[in-house]
Amino acid sequence: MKIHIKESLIFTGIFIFIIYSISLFINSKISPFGYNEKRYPKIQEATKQSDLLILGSSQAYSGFNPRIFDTNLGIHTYNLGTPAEVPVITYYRFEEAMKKSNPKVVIVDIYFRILRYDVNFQYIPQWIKSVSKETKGKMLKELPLKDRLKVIFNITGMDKNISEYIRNFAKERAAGHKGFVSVKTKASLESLEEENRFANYTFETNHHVMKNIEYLDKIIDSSEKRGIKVIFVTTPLPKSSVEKIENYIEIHNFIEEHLRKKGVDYYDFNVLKNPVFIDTEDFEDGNHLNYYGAAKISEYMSKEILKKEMFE
Amino acid sequence: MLFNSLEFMMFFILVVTGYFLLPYRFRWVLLLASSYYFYGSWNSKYLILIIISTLIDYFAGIMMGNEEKKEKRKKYLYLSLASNLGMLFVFKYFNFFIGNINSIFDYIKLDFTAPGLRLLLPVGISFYTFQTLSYTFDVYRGTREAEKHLGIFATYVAFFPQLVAGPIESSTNLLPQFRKKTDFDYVRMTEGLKLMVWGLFKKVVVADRTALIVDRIYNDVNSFEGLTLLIASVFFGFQIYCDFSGYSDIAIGSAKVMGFDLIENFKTPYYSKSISEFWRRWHISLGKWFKDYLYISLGGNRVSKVKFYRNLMIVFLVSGLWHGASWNFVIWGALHGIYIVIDIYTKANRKQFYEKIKLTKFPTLMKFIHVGCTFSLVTFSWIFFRANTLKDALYIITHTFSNMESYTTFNGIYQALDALNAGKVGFIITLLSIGIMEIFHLRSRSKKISDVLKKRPLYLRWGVYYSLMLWIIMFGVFEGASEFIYFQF
Repeated sequence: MKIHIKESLIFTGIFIFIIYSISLFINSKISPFGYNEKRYPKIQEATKQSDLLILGSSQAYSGFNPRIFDTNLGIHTYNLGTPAEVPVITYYRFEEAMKKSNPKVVIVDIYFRILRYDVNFQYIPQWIKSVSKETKGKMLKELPLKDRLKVIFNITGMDKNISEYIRNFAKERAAGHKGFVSVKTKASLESLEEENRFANYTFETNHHVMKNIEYLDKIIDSSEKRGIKVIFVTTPLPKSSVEKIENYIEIHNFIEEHLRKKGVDYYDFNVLKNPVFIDTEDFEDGNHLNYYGAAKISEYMSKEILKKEMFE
Repeated sequence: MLFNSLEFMMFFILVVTGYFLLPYRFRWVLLLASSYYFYGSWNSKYLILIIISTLIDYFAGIMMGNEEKKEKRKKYLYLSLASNLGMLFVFKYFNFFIGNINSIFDYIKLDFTAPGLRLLLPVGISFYTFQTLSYTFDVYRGTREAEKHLGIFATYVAFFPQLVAGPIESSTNLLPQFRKKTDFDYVRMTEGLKLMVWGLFKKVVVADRTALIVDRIYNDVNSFEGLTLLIASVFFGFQIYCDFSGYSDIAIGSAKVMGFDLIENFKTPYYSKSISEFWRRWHISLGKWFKDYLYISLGGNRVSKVKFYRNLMIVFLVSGLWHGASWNFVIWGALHGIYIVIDIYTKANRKQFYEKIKLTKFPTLMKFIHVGCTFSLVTFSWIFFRANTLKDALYIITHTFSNMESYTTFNGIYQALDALNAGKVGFIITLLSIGIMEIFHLRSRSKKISDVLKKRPLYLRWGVYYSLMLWIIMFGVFEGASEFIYFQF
């Protein structure tokens, strides 16, 4: 019996060692989020000199060009957006950034779809890499135990990782300036129709929405304490996408009402009456702006900041 | 609780540990409690159906055991049949029946709609009712004695490894095993675990990966044609085989860990050289059930030729209906019945024909042709099995070979593959996984999968186990563990 126990332990031990080694290798060599990690090895270093920080999901990193803010406002801007970033994570990344930087203004992108998501363990590796041990611990605590294990032994869903890794080569090259991911691909009405990302989409609140809203409030409260002005923005979607969403105006009212109660500015480019002319060709796909669209939004927002004298 | 979930892994470790720590006489209590918990975790209310079925068949068995004459035993057999099949009819077939009645009313323009029932189909109801019926048949026929221990009988009906999707165990094989004293056996445990890993590979890697493609195409058939439909149909053949045989492997493996031997349910059926052989290698436990309790009761092959073919057709029609309450399944069953009848009817003529064209001189080529033809016929029948409606099935059949000229170029093939929307990497991984499975199948031939590596050196064996487990973790589909297809039956 002893020999069997010994054999089982050796077998299991070697297996855990193999998984852990592969996990380390994948994280360091072929992470699908490599392009993100290269954008900011450490948040503190990247944001040290920043006057304006941009936070949020992929809508943020593809929708705001720091170069335009810098030129128009004479400041230093950094875009910290990451893929599928839910407000729970945005809060931790905001707190992490605050450790060494002292921005005057923070723009937080709100993408209504993301509000319905829980913290996704698959994206955790990219977030924990750029934060301190303390914040890493806090982020991991947001996950159930089994997902925490998946993060440590991060080798599931490898086909998607490999595909993303290949796909993101282009983004890595595009990720040039202060965290902005500049994609010059232009969508067409046909490509959007084929993609059909919002067919029969209806937004309903769930407990993830309430939790994410709670963390948005935390960002507001924390900014207030630090004397930072916070602006919330929903970057535009193609008109054809918005039209497919059955209750967009309800989504807008839900977010807008909450933020109004908190007394902060909110710009929803899907509802604002023609603040800038956004065309189908200003999008990379059904829900991301491209380089040209980002330029329009960044121009508009920098003028708004100037008008409201936020840097005075 | 699904076999491919972390919850089951924890549950299984706890049950196995408790099982071997408990004194032998109390083990059935643990097995029964854990089996009820296993089923109750899906829907605790429907546990009552298993309990009712258990009590009626236990009672029927005892009463039949007390009666010497077969005639007197008959009424208890009818009681068991009526209650089990009645339950099955209400929960599974009533709405189908009412739907057809309403269609007839519609056709004759009668302004009346019979109301259906709003009932959730209890998971695995066809499996456990057939298993418990096999017991009453056996007691009625005198093949076995009535089980006097209600607890052990209830454990036989609800034994968790095979409760919701088989294998359907005969009372003569499984029931006595609950009385057998089994000690922990390391070799048997590792054999069981290997089978479980193999089953998991088939389910979460092959079945669930192919399902991503098949579901996309079959849920929107009108948007596709040609090669795309063909690939989806072939992939469904792999999906259903891996889904179901994967479940069976995990069931057999987990029972083995605890010292139980369940019937082998699949023997590489896609390598069959005829439809008759296919049915000796596919869902063996159901085939055995139909043979023992329906086919033989109808007279089997000891009747006139016409009646023999009629018996075969009845068995396959009922088998189709057993799978699901829809005309698609009936057609699927009928197709297999027709295949078998033609197979048997033309056997001698075909043999003569092969000899005439000298094909018998090339046995490998002949085997290849036979396996290919059988696989094609089975794949064709799967179209009815998987299609959401009869209309969809007919669309697939009429459009699978349309526009074939566009696939003569590389670009045409690329576009058909692109329409699968599986992603290049995902598609390659799926093909590689099927390839790995087939290598194992070819290596195992008539042997059990666990015997393939038995005599190989340790480094090779462990290397294969590690590779297989890593492949499962790296390329398995774990997001929202998907149910096994056969749960719905």
